[in-house]
Amino acid sequence: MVFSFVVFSAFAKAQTCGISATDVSFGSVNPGSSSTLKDTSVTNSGDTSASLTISGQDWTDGAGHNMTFSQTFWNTTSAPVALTNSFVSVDTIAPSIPFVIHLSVQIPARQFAATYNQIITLEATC
Amino acid sequence: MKSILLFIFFSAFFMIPSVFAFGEVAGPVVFTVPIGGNNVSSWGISNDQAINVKLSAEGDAMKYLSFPDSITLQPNNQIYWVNLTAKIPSDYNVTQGTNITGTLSAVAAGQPGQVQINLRLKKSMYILVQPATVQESVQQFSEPFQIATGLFALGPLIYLPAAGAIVILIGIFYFARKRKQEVKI
Repeated sequence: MVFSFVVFSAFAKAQTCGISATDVSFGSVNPGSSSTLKDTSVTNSGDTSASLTISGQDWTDGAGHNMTFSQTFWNTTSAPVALTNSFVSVDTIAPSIPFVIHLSVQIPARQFAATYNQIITLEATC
Repeated sequence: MKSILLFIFFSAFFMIPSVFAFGEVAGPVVFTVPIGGNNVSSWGISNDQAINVKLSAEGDAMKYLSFPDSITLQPNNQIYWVNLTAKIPSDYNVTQGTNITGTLSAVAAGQPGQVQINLRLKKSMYILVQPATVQESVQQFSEPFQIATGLFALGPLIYLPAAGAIVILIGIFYFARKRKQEVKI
């Protein structure tokens, strides 16, 4: 018992929280229509809970054509909400339990046809 | 047909899992700094593979803080302790507050693709400003008793149980040996 007490004390480690996420791709989407829902699976790789927030940037084709960040929608269990360019709370994620965020994109009817990319940032705090 | 113009996105049709397991040590970073002095603390960050991470700070505490712009994390979730230094100028006016707050951020860029998912860690930090009158005593003890996150936050107290257990073990061995010698006699 004493030995295990010594071992426990010697190896006491700092508690951590972490974040990992799977990538998402919507494929091709026609102007005036929406993509199907795509999921990113977020996992807290640490051993203590983390607060998760999300934000995004405009879609851009790198040639001057843009589409606002709010054309992307996300949700977990409730109705989809438009992405914002400032961080908004998603949920508290427990360690090692995959947490799914559903994403979709809605293309305006007169959007210039091009290849667009977007950066979404997931933020963890603990 | 032009009317059926496809809106073509660049697509990676395969779901490539992000390889990051980007983590930080829990708890806020706290500095206790005398006016006209400085103090150090650290922020623990880790990842499952070697990556370059950009660091930034926001809030009022930002102007009193110095830290590297970027760091390279080692693989296998080894904790990298980012050295942070808070310095309060001698002309600091305490009416500005004695608890200066801010946040630190570390950003790891995700896989390039149609949607690039970046991962960001945020850390709350507090600079507790001490009056100049106690500057000397605080500076003396600030280094060994610095308040930081994780293991350091517990300070020397974490070693007390281990030290106690070692003393008990030595006692057990001493008395066992003594008893053995008595039996031989």
